[in-house]
Amino acid sequence: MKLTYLFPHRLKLLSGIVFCITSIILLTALLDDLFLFEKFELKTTVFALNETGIMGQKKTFSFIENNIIDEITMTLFILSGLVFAFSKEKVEDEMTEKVRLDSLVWATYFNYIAFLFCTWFFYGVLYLNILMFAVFTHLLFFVIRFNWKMHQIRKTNCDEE
Amino acid sequence: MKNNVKVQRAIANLTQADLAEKIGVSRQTINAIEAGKYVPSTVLALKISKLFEKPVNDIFELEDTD
Repeated sequence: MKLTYLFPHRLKLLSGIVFCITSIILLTALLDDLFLFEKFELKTTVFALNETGIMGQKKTFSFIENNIIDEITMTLFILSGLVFAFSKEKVEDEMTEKVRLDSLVWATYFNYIAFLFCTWFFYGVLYLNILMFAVFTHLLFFVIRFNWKMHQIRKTNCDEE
Repeated sequence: MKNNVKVQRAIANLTQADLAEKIGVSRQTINAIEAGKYVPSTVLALKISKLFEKPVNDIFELEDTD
């Protein structure tokens, strides 16, 4: 049984680097109340299905001016994250598939349990930040758990005779 | 599930890496199977049985907990 929806192994290094960089940028930006994105301006016209302003004014199906630095960072994060998380290992076999599935289940549980905890213990504006965190921590937890497990398996000493 | 892959491998005079290469898995997977940490799929069990020219039942055995 071969999984066909995995990316080739050669993409792992490059996507890993991009994923690390964008993760750090996003984490820093979120902890800094998104001020980081305001320091770099890249204003352009974008098509908006909907834009709701702070005062509640709405625009639908229109072209608006927007700083797209955050959109670019998020796009790079999601794409590199998906490729890095779901690219083949050097030797891809059924045990790797099992570790991958286990990690995915583990990350899903962990992410939602952490989110549930935050729902009951964090209130106000901070909760909105946590909502944003939860969007990408699922992928982050999966990547950490999977690579940690693979690292543990790789370093197991063989008992060759 | 118990198995005697390690014994069969010794009889055939193969290293973990040799066996891994012949059936197309990583050496770590063979290591995990021998240590009882990983239960191989039917396909992999049949590949091992074919390689050692022994019935699957002679290599893998159910335990009471299975």
